[in-house]
Amino acid sequence: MPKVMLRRDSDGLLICYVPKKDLEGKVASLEFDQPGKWGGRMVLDDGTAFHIEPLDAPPVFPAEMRASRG
Amino acid sequence: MSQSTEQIKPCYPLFMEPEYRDLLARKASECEDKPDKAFLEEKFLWTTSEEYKTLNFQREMLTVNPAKACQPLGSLLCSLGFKGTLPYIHGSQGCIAYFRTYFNRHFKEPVACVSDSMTEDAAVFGGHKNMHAGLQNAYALYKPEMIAVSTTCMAEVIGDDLNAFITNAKKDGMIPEDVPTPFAHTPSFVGSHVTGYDAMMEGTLRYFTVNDMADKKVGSNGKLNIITGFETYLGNYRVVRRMLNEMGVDHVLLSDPSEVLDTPADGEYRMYQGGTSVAELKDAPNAIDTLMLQPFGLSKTRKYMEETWGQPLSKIKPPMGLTWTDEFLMKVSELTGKAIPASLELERGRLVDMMGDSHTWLHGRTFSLYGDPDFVEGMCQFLMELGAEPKHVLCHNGNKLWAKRMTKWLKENPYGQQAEVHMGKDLWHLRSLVFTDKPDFLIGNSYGKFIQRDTFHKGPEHEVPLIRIGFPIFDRHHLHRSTTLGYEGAMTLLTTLVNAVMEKLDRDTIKYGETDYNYDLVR
Amino acid sequence: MSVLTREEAQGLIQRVLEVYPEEARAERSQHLMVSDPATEQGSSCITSNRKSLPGVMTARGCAYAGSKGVVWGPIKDMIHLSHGPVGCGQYSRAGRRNYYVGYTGVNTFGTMNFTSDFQEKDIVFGGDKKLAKILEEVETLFPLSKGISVQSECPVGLIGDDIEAVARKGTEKIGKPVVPVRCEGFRGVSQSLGHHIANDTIRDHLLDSGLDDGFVSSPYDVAIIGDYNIGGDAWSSRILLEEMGLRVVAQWSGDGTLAEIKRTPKVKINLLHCYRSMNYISRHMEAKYGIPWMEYNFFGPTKIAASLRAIAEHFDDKIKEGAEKVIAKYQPMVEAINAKYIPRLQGKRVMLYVGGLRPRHVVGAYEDLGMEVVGTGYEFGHNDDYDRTTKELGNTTLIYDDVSEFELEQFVSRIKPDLIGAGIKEKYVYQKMGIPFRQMHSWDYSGPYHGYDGYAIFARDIDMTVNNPCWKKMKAPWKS
Repeated sequence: MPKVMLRRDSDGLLICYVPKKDLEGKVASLEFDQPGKWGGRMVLDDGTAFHIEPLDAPPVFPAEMRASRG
Repeated sequence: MSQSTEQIKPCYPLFMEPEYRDLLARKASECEDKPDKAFLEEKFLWTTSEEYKTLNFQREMLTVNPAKACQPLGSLLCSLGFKGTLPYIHGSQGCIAYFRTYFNRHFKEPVACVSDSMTEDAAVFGGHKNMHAGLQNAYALYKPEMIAVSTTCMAEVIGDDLNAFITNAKKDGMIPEDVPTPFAHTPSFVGSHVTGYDAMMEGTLRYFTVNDMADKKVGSNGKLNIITGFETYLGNYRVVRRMLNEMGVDHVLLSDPSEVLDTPADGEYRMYQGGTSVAELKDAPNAIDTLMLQPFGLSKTRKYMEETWGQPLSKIKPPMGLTWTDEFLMKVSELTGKAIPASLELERGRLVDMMGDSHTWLHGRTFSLYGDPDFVEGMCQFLMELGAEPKHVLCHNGNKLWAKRMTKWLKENPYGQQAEVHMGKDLWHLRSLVFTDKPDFLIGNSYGKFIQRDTFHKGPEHEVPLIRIGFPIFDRHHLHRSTTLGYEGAMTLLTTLVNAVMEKLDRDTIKYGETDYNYDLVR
Repeated sequence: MSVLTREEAQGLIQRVLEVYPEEARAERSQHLMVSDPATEQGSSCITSNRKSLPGVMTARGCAYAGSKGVVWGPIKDMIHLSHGPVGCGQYSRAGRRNYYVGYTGVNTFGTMNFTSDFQEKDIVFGGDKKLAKILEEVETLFPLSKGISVQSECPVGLIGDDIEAVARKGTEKIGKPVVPVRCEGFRGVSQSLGHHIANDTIRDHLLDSGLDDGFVSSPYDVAIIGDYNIGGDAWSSRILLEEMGLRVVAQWSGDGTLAEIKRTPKVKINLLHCYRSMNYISRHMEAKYGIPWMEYNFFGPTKIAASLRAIAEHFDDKIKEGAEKVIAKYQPMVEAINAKYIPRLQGKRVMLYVGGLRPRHVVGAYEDLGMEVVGTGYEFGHNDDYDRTTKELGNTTLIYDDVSEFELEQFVSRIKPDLIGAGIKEKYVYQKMGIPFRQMHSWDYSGPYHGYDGYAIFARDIDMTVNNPCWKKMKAPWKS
């Protein structure tokens, strides 16, 4: 389960960084992105997909979290 | 704004401009938590004191500013001196990047050398696979006639069996069986770059001769072998050849990198150039004798040859200065039956003439010096021939026996009375020595420039100017092309020394309207 | 000389690959490509940060080089001990030109070489006792040092020494940070892992401890991250930031000090120049202290102006006005430099091969001089570096990762650029081939190249090298 780091870039887009792989990509889609539920399947613009255990609320960015290969 | 198109300033003098001086002062006072100047001056003075020297010499474990490098650097230089040879170092790749850079900076030449890039998995499983792939790739890409293998400390700590690895790689067809692959173990935690040169030389000679001595007969090829040892003055390879040619002595330098480290700029890059051929190496035991120009630095090679080759291995001193060049030539003459020709006698006479001309500027001057053992010994010899006096004689990579012998020898010479031999000491020790007992000059490699700066900071009267003779020399151009051996080398050294004395005198007496004396036109 | 078409460039790569044994060819083919600005992500086309092939002459160094040589070494008021055999410290001593000012040997130590000079007995019996003693000796002889970093060389990690324990005890004993750094040269595939390890150790041992020294921050505090002050680069950058009204609290790590590092968590934004070697610590400070970071580029006036404006965006109008004033102030100088040098350099073609930042960052500076980059590559870049690279380049630029001496020579022979910018190991090969060459690591003993003052020097240097008469004298006149 790699650690990933999520942050917003200057355009407000969500950016995901995977330190182990020095992989940095824009988040192309996120399964749940609502005030009450945040997380689920996350796909980066290069096609790499992760699964983040859904949270009750969106985290404050930047945020470090665990994600599994999805 | 500091730049204009008329005058574009790099670091110096750019950072002397007021806006940058302000910037640096602001950074120091606001950001750096830096002690004030008076306190720093006081502490600086403490580092120049007798008290500090005592503390400094009580050091047992810490090395500061060493005057030596590690073994594979030496094995690389030795390997470069063989014809068509690719130096190959088994171990971590970073080391090789460092060796190449170090030589690039000194010689201002490309230096070809590969490693087999051992990483963490090789640390666990050994470097067998790396050697296989490494030899295969290196051979395919660089098409060497020979691959000379040595090691970094990583391969040595995990205990890789070089011989078995290479043999297996050949068996598995990674490189053709008939590509020679001499090898040597060169762990960096033993000895220094000098030891590494010795190890590679020994390994190579052993590889080509140990099982092929049956048909060898000392003297049968009529040649004389020369081994220079870790030699970084290109002129020295050339002067030895010239002297022997003038004597009509057929000879071979066992490892001669003077071509590959001095290739022309003519539109073509030559990865291989010159060097001792395999045939010459195989034929070497048939020579009349082998002379080693760095006797201390070639002890392992000597031992192997003593046991195997049966040559007399005549003992000589490094042919530096007048007397030891005389002895070298007489030994060559004795061994080969060739007379020393008039041309060399003429050259000798010219050297003596120069010594007479310059003695007034050198007699009684004191010189502290550091470097490899044989260099230091040869340099002391020539200094004393000039009437100059060695003061601190520092060598990081000798041994106790060498120090004892040197001390005794120096004490026997009227000009060696001031000499103190410091073996296994580093340049931070030397800094204390020249602060507490000032010599007129310091002789050594580029690292000495920091000692010169520190002594100057204490005050101009404390300054010990550095005369750059040694290895590495990074901060002056093309000095590595000059010569320090033979009469020719002595002339170069003499010219360098005497002019350093006069340049110092000019700097000391350049004060207009004040020291108008001794600022002379004629000297 | 015509620029290659895409097909020709692909063909060239194929030809160069032919000489490799099969396995090596397959590996190397993933590291060579022709750029296509249409692709968003360079990393999807090129493989990077992989092991170098054994036996192939790579220019790469090791983790120790990345940690001691790059990140830790420039912190000037700490002592960085090369822990292990004597060579590593000697080869890396004072060669990088990361300038600083100070009383060397008294309160600063940047050009010195501290080593434990391992002997055989240290390998056999371990070096921990030696290390413990060394820490005391350092403290006796260099009492003004602010701390010690222990930079591990290969054997340390192989013989099972516990430098962490020794460092911990040492910290207590001398009352200063003693930082164990596990940057043994066999770790990772290049310098790059050393940068990461160094970042992590600075984070764990310096940054997150002892933040409270009464330092009063201001709304305009910034830190320069990933500028190693080669030839004074950080100084010629700092001056612009100060002129626009910002306060530079810390330089990481060129001319850097422990105090600056410790105060960095109080800055408003981290300005990151060398992304490769210090993105880690920037990301950490973002996560832990909420400090945003941004990449900037101070090579060449186009990128400088864009960067100054982008930096100002994070601040109020005063700073925004400041940025415009700075840009306007230097505009006449830039115009004069361009008027002088562009006519001498227009249309010249450059190939680059540098470390982890400059293969993309300097492209704009060459373009400002009217030159074109026709090939570029990283010694130790990663995916994210290549992503950032392709957009800087034109069509059919060759891109090569961890290029071997052999490959680069082949590329150069075919492309015949007017200038190569790479390192000392490449320099003399190409000068002998008659191709003008600048070292782009050390600025070829010149610099600074950052900032407006640096651009003037850069322009002067590129001109002197490209147009020096010596390159036309390669052939003897009696040879046709």
